[in-house]
Amino acid sequence: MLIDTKLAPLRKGLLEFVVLRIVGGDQVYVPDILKRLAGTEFATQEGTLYPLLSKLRREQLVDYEWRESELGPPRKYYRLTESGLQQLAQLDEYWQRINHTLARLGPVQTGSSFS
Amino acid sequence: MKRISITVCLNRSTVQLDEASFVRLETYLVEAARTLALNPDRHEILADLEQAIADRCLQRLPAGQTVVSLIVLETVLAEVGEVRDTVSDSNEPRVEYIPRDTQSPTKRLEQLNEGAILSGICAGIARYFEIDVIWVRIVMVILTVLSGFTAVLIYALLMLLIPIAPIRVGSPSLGKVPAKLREATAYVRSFFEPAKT
Repeated sequence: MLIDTKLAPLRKGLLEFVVLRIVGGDQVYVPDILKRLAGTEFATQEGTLYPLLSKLRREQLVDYEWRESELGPPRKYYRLTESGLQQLAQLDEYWQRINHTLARLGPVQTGSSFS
Repeated sequence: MKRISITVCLNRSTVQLDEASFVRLETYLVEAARTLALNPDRHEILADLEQAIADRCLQRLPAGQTVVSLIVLETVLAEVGEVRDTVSDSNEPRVEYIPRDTQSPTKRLEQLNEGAILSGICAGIARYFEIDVIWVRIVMVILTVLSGFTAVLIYALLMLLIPIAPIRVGSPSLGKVPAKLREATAYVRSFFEPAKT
């Protein structure tokens, strides 16, 4: 599918933004994040998410704390740091700007032709 | 005789695997470790992945069963997904892993133009003796200084005498040489800088 080869990098680039949003909403552990993303365009897997979260942690945008679980071993709960919150705000603002730009540059008319 | 189960420790959980699933999981984890080789947090990520695999295996075990079969494990690994690293996922071209013994079936002294600074004499010598090219280059520089540039003449002579290796498909073009040069100088520099932790 041609369209998907164009959309895939877009989704990939936005995944970090999306994960920051989820972590910013509440303290979450990885299965929560996967569940929130499942069924959306950004559905992903542990194999992708853990390396991404560790990168975000190296950049000091997220941090985690261990919490005991009744069902098994302790779990890592992720949350945004102060600079994570700031970056999320910047990303949100940038996203708004892109949306405005897109709207300003031209109307989207599905099914229209140039005749 | 057949081993019925192998008990493995996956991060903080203990899981029983049968022979086939043990082999499969080992392959997956080795592959994951290779993908994450450049990642500073690889140990933590691998521990997280082990835990995710253990949790999912225990969830998916059919009632009454204690040993994870290959079918269950395959389902779990498909859910966890292939490891994709954000570090080595950069714009750098992926380095193909080529086992040493398949690189050149017969040992020949050749000029290796790929990855060469000048003509690939040093790279060719390095491959022939199976040592890192940087050592050959260092020796070359020392010889050049000590011999009052006679070594340069020898280099030129070798350029004429040693055959040029055929360029393999997908080998970097000459345009990539500056990047290689940067890499080489960074490598040399790393010897003189204290190790970063």
